[in-house]
Amino acid sequence: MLVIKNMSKTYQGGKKAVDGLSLMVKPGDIYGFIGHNGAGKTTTIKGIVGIHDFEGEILVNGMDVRKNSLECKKIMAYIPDNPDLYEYLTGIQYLNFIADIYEISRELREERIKKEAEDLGIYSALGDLISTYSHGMKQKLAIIGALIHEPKLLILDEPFVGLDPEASLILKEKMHGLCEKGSSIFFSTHVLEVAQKLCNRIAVISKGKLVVEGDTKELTKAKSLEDVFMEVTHHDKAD
Amino acid sequence: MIRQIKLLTGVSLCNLFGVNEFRYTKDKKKKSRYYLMSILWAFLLAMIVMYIASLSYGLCHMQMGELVPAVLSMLVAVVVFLFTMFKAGPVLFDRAVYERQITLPVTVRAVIVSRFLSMYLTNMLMGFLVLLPGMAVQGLMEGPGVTYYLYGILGGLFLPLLPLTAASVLGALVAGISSRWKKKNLVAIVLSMLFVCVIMIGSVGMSRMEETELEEIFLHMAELMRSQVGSVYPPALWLSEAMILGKGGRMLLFLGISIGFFVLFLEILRPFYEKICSLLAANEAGGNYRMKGLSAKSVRRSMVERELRHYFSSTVYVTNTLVGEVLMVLTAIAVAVMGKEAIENMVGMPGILERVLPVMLGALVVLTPTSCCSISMEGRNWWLMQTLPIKEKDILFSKVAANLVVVAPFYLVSEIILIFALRPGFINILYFLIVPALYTLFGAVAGVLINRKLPVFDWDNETRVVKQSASTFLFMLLGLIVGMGPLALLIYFY
Repeated sequence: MLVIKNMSKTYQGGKKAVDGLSLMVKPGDIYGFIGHNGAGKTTTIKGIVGIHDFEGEILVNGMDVRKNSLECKKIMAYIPDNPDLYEYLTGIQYLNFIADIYEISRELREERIKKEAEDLGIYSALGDLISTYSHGMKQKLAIIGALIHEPKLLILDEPFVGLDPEASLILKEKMHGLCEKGSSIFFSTHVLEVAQKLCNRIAVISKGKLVVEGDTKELTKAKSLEDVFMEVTHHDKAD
Repeated sequence: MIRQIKLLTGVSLCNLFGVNEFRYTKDKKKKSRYYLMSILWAFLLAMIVMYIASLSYGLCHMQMGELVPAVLSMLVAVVVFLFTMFKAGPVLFDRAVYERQITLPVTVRAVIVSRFLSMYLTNMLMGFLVLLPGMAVQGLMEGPGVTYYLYGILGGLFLPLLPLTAASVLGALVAGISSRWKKKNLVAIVLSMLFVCVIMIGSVGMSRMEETELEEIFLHMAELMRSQVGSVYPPALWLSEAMILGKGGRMLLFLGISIGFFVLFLEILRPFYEKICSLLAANEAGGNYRMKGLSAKSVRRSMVERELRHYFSSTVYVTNTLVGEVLMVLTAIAVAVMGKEAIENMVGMPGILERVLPVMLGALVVLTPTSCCSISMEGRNWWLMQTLPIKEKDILFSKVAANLVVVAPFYLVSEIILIFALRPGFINILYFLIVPALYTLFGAVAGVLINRKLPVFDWDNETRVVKQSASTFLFMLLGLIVGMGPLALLIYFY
């Protein structure tokens, strides 16, 4: 579903944020992308979703994200770590706008919005302006907007930051539900316990380079993901 | 308190004209945008200095040198007032700044004064930019005494105080009244536009002259100009008399009124400031939504509707981009009320109106189209446009279409008024309809194309985008050339 081949990104000023990164996410995968602050996680994600330019190649469902940008975006959804949404719209106006963009039928959007908003506990607030929402509510609204077209590939940047425990649990269920239907999820996180429990595959990035990648169970074995993470990132530092 | 004011103002001003960002950014594109802005500014400043110098030279040459300080002071006051009347309110009552500063151990007075000073210093620089070339020309031609320069510099320091306070009073009134309404932005937009109409009609009324008055002007020009300045802005005359005649009392009167008016404003606003800010920041949330059936629209229609919602949600955006359209309607009303012949007789050019009016309406529309900063206005929300499956041409279309929808009612109203008032022939009706329409379309398309080349997304204040961004600035220059150029040619070849 997602193939990254030798991706690199150098910022203005010379800082190499991502350096020759390659990985593959298969249909049905929940893929955790782990790394220190500034390791290159968000830069990689922004390259996939079309915000940043990059060197190398990224394929979504076999299509090049630069050459077939629109087709790729139609089957993808992205939720940033701090979603800045249109504060001048009400929640329902925002969701209706997103549904218009993905060309979702009236009946289907009503059904999906109602269900997802009730599940995440913001249904009654949908008539209010987004500017009145808390950080967590905005996050939930962004999640509903991302699920509205049942994406084949869901990209999330630190999705659990700002969510209450119940909403985190619901999001995890939603992620599992989406993958059971054959979609893939690629997300970055700092919460290693969540990654260990939720993901079937994991990649660790350090200073822009992939340091370890593989099946979660095989990687961790008897150890915790925290131990593995410290081991590989410290080993990387010692180098 | 002085220390608090100094610290708060310092923080606001450290990125004045983007200096701090320019110093520390490693982004080459951003740096080149600043270079472009510097070139545009240098060009504009050179033009202002040349204009002021030639105006002052002209007055001195016609033995009216004593009017130079008065005319220039009035010019500064009018420009400061016009440039800050929409800006003062949003800057004084900026929600984000208020929330950041009110949690610090500083007094409300210090917050207000620092917000005021953050606007004041740029206006003071502008004031000196006007005063100094004039003083230099007069100094060279007439060799005035030391008090001329002393009072000139002192006057320059305080010249923007009165007009900026007046603009702040206007801003505070708009903010104070709108804060009590549910639809705050809409009320603020309507009130601001109402104030523009009142000011415009008032200024036209003050400067309206009969034919006989025009003849008088040429006979007693200096005296009449002095009385005009005196009736429009007396403090300009006081400063002028202090500089030219060395009257210290007049200088004290000028300083006293300027400072007194500001202190009065500060003390009246202080008890209400926190209340207004918190009311403006307060949003109503019902929390009782029930789905009543959603409507599915095409991508383009949905994009245009969102664009319009965005536009009307921002008082700064609307008030700064709608002035041309309001002036368009006011011009049409003025022509209808005063009558074609009266105006043509007043300017001494029979038959000129039907020729210049369509171009004049067009020139007003291209002053600041909504599209010339519409991409930048996306700001931190730009990620959505980048990641949603939307074609670039649909984004551009939505911005152009929204611009046309905003102008349409003003265009129709002014056209209907003018066609009924002037009753032009068929060909002239077409001329009246097509020329402003073409200008509108040109403004909308050129605006979005310029903004596409020079977008700014990392702003924290809408004013920075709407009034101070490179694309707005570049479009204003283009608008002046495209709008004023043909007008000047039409009048020249009359």
